[in-house]
Amino acid sequence: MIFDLFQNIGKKTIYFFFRLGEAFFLLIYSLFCIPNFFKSIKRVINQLYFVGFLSLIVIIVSGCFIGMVLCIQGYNVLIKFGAEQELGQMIAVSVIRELGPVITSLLFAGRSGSSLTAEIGFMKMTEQLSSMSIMGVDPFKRIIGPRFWAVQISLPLLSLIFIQISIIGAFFIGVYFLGIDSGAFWSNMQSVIIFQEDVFNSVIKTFIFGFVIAWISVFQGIYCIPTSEGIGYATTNSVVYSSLSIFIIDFFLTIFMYTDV
Amino acid sequence: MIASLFDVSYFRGSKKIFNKINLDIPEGKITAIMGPSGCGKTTLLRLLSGELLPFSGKIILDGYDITNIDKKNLYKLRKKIGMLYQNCGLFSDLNVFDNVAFPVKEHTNLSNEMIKDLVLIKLHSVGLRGARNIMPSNLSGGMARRVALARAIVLDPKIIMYDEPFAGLDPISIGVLLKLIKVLNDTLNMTTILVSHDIYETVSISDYIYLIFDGDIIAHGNSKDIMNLNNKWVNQFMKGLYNGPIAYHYPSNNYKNDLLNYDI
Repeated sequence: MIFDLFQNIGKKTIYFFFRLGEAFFLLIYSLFCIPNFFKSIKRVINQLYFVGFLSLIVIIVSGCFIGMVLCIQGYNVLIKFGAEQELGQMIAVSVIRELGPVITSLLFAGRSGSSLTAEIGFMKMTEQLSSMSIMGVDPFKRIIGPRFWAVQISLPLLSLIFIQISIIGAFFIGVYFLGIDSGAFWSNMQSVIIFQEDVFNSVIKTFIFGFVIAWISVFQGIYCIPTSEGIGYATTNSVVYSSLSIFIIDFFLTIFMYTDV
Repeated sequence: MIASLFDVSYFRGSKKIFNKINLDIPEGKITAIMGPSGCGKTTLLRLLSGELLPFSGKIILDGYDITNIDKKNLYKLRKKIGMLYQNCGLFSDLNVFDNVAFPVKEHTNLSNEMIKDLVLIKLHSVGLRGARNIMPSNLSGGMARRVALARAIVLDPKIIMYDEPFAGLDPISIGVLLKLIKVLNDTLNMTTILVSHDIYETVSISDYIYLIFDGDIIAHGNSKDIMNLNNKWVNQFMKGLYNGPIAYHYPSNNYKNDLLNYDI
């Protein structure tokens, strides 16, 4: 009984480190697997369309509603202190520093990360990756490279769009429904947001989140069990691991970027 | 010999798949690897193509030791290999034409005009020139296999490997495929490695046959020798007999005990 328990723990530990090793090698390979620019540019653009452009509607709608909700809730709190004119500043800080990168990345992991995992898993199941490899074409370069770089390019852009739409949504609710002064809304925002610090840090965050999402999604797809059940499991794992990683990394990045600890 | 296996052993987990097998594939001939389902035929093909690495032993393919080859040379070697997978492995996002054109675009700098001609010639040879704009999801099993064959031969490989090419096909498709395999081997002077358990089809075109069972090669020789061999394993497999040394049932406990005592 105890022997079985130890054997089980040992097996799981070995498996964990084995997977960690695989993930590490994939990471290294992805980092150095910069696709041939002229041959891959079309593929990267194609992937930008699938992972980036097709996520746009989700990002715009979410951004708009999150901005509006944030505005109403912020107004209810600030009005108690007579500080409702500071709404623009509150919206900008929370959206640019945190909500923009984090929510965009979560939505992206759910929409595009999972689809990347499922697509690569399906290619593995139907022997498309094997047949590519047997034709002398490195599937990592052909399949992984363009997807990896498309995620890296599109996520920061989507996050910036999310931020802008949120602020515009908040502006409409704040100014036209809650009676905030339009000039105060923009000028308070302008006075507190420092481009190099806030916007630049926000882009860095999304870049790091994009890297993690791409890594996890691709890894789950490549190393999934090539059955319908295995692909389903890998897709779920892809979203769960990406989301948890985003929260944890965001915490450390926030400490690093916005505190003097 | 264009390919050779020397004392190759392969395990899947703790299960033995091959135990120190030796095998030679002659150049320019059709060599069949046959055996019952699950005996490791496809694994053998994957070992030969370098997709899997053996636990011990050496595999030589076209002069390269693929058990000890770097990635660059492996991909270089693979340009000389065509492979027809059981699932075809057609790219689901590309139509028939683009699937066949894929290796040409990846490995050559030919003009679009030349690529078009080359692809159409290959598609014509498998009888699917008219299906060039169809997506793989809309192809029948036989057509998908022929497209995969056109793609496998588009760069005129030196070696072509077929993994269960006749599985699940109707008699007409099998007949067409048999003819194509034979014609391609003879006209392009390719070396063909054919993995199958379809006895009559395989025997009819093969120059040499290896029979695998339980991790070992139990017989090898030309088609006539194999058919006439006085060996109970070979006889059972080649004649499709129910009774014999190759058990139909997976090893299990006593049937009566299972019926009475097995809890779900």
